[in-house]
Amino acid sequence: METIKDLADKSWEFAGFYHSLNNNTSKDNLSFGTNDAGFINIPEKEASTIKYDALDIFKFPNETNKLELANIEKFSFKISLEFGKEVENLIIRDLTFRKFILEIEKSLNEFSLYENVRFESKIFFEEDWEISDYKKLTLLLNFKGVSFKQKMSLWKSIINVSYRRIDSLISYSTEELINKFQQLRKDFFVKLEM
Amino acid sequence: MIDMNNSFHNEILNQDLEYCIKAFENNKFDLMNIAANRLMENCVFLENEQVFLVSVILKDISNDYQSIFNHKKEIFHSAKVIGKETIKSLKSNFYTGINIEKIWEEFQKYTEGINEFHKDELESEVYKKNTKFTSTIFKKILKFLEENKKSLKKFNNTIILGLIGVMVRVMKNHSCTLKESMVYLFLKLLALLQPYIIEKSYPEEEINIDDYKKYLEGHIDYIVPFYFNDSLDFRIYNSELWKIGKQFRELYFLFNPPRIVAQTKFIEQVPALVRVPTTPSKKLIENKEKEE
Repeated sequence: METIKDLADKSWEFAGFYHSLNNNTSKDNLSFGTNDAGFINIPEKEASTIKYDALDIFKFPNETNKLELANIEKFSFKISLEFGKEVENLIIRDLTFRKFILEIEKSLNEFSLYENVRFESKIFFEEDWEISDYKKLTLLLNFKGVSFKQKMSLWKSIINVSYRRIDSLISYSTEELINKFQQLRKDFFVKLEM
Repeated sequence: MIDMNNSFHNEILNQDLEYCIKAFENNKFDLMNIAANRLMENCVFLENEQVFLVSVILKDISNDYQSIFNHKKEIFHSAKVIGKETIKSLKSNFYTGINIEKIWEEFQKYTEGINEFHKDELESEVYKKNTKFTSTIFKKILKFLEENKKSLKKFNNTIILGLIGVMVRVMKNHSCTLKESMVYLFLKLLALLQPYIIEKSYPEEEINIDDYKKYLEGHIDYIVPFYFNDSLDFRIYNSELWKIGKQFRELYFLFNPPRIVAQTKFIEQVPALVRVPTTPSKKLIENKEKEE
């Protein structure tokens, strides 16, 4: 079980070379077999449905259990992310759009790894006041307890991280998806709550 | 069977459901799991098979989100949209009168949606929807289960957990149809019952024949033909699922916690990240050997 300190340590490691990482944990997820301890190594998503059932079976926790659960509870989000209704509907129904939104969420999390600041964010469609039938996909950021100058600097950082991830998504996509992602990129704006 | 017009029962089940939903909204998925158990237990007492299905689905949702919450925080908010929509629909179904077909339709949509979030980036790029393949695998493994069902009598058998592992992998990477989701949910509940049947059989060395027939063989004999049969009877499925739930809670009252898990360390029961124990009993035997 990773502790908060472990995660903090990792965040500092990330800070040094996060540009070279693309948040890929596939190595762990692809192993499948039995190790020396008699455990089946299965990808964590596959393990999860069974694993947590075990918690249910043993749900009168002893002290160790409480401790383990407490550690889970300690993990809290540095970011708060909400979606507009239309965005939610598209996340459910449109796989391409969902992939695009996932990159934005990953950007916010990547950003939060090396910037120790709490913020709220919302992704929604916003009508353009100049072109009535054009809707912008807007990421609205609200930083808490920081100066205007800092806000601007953080805003720029998030723009950098998110556009870098979106560009990477586009460059690794099939031809069929590239146009869709490029259009979404064009419609995507990052705004700052003042 | 108690109907949903009984307002006293409804009130209780509503409260359990509300608790479950609030736990979901507050990202307390361990509590959500407990709330789903409460709903499940009350459905057993109140003999409500329809709401019982809702409780099993909610339990599955809580397991999914606990996993994403623990291991895939970077996509958690987007993933939660899928569960939010399903829970909203379950809730509305609950208040307007249970429509079983609608519940299954929602659960299937949920399963297909959440499986996309369980994939890692490479899996998303590589694997495409192929339900024909999923069906082929399900047929193979259910046939395997049918042929090897007698091994369930042995304390250290891993067949149900093993097959669930395969099912989850195939459903995640290649998607699935409603029937596969139904088989998965059924076996998952059966896997919860299994340690208690083993406990009931102590100090024998294997599950006695009567218990095997009552608690295991009957359920296997239902679910295997269910999958191979072209027809789909939601009512009978619900009844069978409810029976497992009833047996699970009854044995839970009698034998909790089963010694095969009580004597293993917590970390062996619920390994921290990517592992599940092959069988708790295997660890118990190892521990006993060490003590000796």
